[in-house]
Amino acid sequence: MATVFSLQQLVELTGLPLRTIRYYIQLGLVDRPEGERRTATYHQQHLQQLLSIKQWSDAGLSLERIRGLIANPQQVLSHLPEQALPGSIAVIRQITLMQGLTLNVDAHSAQVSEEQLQALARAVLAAWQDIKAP
Amino acid sequence: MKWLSELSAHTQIETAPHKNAFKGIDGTLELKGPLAEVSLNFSYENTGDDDLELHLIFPLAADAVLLGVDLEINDEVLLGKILPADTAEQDYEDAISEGNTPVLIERLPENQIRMQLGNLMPEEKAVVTLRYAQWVSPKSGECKFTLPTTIAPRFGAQPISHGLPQQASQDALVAYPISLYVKSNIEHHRDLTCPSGHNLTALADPAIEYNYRLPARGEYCFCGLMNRDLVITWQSPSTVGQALLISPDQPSDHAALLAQFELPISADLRQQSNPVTLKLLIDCSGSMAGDSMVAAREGALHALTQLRDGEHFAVSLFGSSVEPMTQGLQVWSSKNRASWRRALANVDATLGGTEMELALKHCLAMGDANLESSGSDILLITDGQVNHIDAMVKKLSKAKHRVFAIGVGHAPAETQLAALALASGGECLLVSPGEDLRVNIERLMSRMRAAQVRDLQVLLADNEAHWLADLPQRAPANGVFQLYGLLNRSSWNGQLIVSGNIQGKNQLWRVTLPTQNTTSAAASTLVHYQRVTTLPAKQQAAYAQSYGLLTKHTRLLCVYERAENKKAGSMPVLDDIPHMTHLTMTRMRLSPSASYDECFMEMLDSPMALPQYLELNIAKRERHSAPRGTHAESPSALISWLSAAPSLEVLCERMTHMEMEGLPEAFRNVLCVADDERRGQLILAWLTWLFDKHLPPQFERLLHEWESVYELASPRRLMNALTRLQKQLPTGPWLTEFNSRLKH
Repeated sequence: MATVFSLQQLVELTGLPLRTIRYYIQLGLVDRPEGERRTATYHQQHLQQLLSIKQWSDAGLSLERIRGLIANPQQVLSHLPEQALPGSIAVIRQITLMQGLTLNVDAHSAQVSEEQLQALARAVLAAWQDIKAP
Repeated sequence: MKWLSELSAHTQIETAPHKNAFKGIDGTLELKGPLAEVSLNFSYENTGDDDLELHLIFPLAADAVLLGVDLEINDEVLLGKILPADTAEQDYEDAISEGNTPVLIERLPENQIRMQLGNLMPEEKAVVTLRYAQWVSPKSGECKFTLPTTIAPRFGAQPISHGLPQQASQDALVAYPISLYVKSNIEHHRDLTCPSGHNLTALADPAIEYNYRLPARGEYCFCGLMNRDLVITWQSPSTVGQALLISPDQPSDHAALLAQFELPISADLRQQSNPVTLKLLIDCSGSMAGDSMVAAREGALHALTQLRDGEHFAVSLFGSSVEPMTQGLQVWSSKNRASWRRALANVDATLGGTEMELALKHCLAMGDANLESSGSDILLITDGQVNHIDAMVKKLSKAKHRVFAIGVGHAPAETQLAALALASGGECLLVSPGEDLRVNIERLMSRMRAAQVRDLQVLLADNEAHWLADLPQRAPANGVFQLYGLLNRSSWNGQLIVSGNIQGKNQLWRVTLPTQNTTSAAASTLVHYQRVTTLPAKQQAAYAQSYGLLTKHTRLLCVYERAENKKAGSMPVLDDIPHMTHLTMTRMRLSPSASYDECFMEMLDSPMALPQYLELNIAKRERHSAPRGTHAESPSALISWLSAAPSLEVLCERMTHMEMEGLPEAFRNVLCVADDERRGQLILAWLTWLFDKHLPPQFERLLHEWESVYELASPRRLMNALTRLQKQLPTGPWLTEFNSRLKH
């Protein structure tokens, strides 16, 4: 089996569009090639990286999570935190539990329903009452 | 345009340094009657050490059609061409790998475009020019042109993409400037207003001497930030019906037709006002926080007050879940207005995400078995920032509810809301924070109550046309209809035959339209773009290529070929350009929601902001106070009048005149409400603005610092103060001019 590939060969072997492969290289998910422009060459590692990304992507992982997985291969998938980048925007619900105590929830990231949120708020208040009680 | 860059510098738009290569937009907008043509220049500069590949997703208005793209780089200008998608993408990749610089434009859903510019080398600049057109048809008596400049975050599950992102990203830390030259030849161009709060400044008569180049009347300029839609409105012309017969450049028997018309229905039918069953749906998701939520509360209450006693209604809030405020449909009574005002005052953007599909399903399911609720209307007040609306559109096209959507906020998702409304036979209006929402609510309610026309069909008088676009299957009978067609020139005699059903009766109307002949490529492209979407999928690609249309089957590409010794090297580094958000508006010099005091204080540092300040405050005052007297002169005219004063004394006289005599109350209020200090500051700011560029910087500084000028400046006292100041300053070329201005 060939161990040196052109970009076009990687397209054929992985089934990924050429622009997508370049995009993954630009994101740092796949190593850069050796050489420049039309003489750039790729190796087995590049092919393996692309196939892994394709597999994770097909499983529903976002590219950010895939990036985390590549950076920390020992991490369990479900524990991978999303990295908050400077300038990123999220909608946060701020629930006041009592004076000086608020619950901030990014409902989209945390994937919590209204009912769960209410239960959480009640549970936190109840826990506080227990702590405060003499 | 040199003067435009001078104006940009003077408006002191604050843009924070950011790392990406995008430097902002400048361009032109031409309003030619109902046709708007836009040319936007996207400026890029690579200030880093690596070759860059730029990626930007940019919004177009819902009905905008791309005409072409140019690339200007290293003193060369290259025109883009339409190619099949596969070919264009391969050519783009070939250009990248060969070290050349290509630009690829792709059409995305929701009428967004993806722009990729590859191999911009270090220290290089490039300008990508997009040209597009749209037809501005009157809606409810008003014409509105919208130029989106940013894409707000979408909530809900993101579509999974294996490749390039399908949605734009946002960054709260970036700021990009935009400046436009606007030329209008529409009827009553002086009545252009800019409810989005932008500083759209009328350029005055060239007979008046200024620092800046002055084009003729009907021309405006605007400088701002790319953080919200630019909205320009004007009253619809007295004669709505018109047709454009568009011929190709080469002699041909074929022509394209663009027409707009009203049905010649009776006055009684036109003014008919039927009962409604209203289901009010208010978006309370997080993205509605701020101006949008204020608008939503106001709009909701006003909608309820438009109901007649005895009509049925329901109110629901939605976000991540639906929270009904009423138990199903209730009967409205005007006695409930006060309690609803109190109830709606507590509504806020606290319900998390935007589950619009859930909310619409809730409305569709709601009903009373005894009521004809199958004929209900949903009034949706939202910013529309949601994914996955295709399923909703399909449901609505089958349901018996119409959706009337009000898009609020600084960058509402027009394409999505328009799709929802169109599918159901309703209507969509976008209302920016500076507009009167109540008027727009009344317009939509009037549409709901209007007599409906169904099963509309249109023919040419001699029944010969290659193609005529379908009209909406149900619509208010008193609306304005747009028609696109392809025909033989000889078969057009200025008449349409329209059939439809109103209140169970089939009717036939003959509509005569004044026709303008044109060879406008923009108008022709608009028609062909409507045509291509009706063709079978297999024919669309070839048709799009023949007529230069950017569709999902085609791309726009241009390639700058570099000399062999100047090729780019290794794979370029990706520069994904994020959008601004309207959250950064607080960093602008003047925010439309800034208080009176904030605006006034900002004015001292930004004299050029004074016109904007006046525009914002006068708009606010007009909205909140009963009209008194006449507001015959617009703020722009006042500014022109003041700044045309040939001497300092005349200026002061005019300011005094404005203070004492019958001038628009709003401006008088500005002077009268301000205390002595601020009145002096106002005059000072005016003087600074007027004398800008005539005097050395130290004069300005002294003017600011000189406390005595901050008193009430009667003409004599102001003259005395400035004369004393003059003695403290070093001499210079400005002195002669200043002395001449001080002469009585």
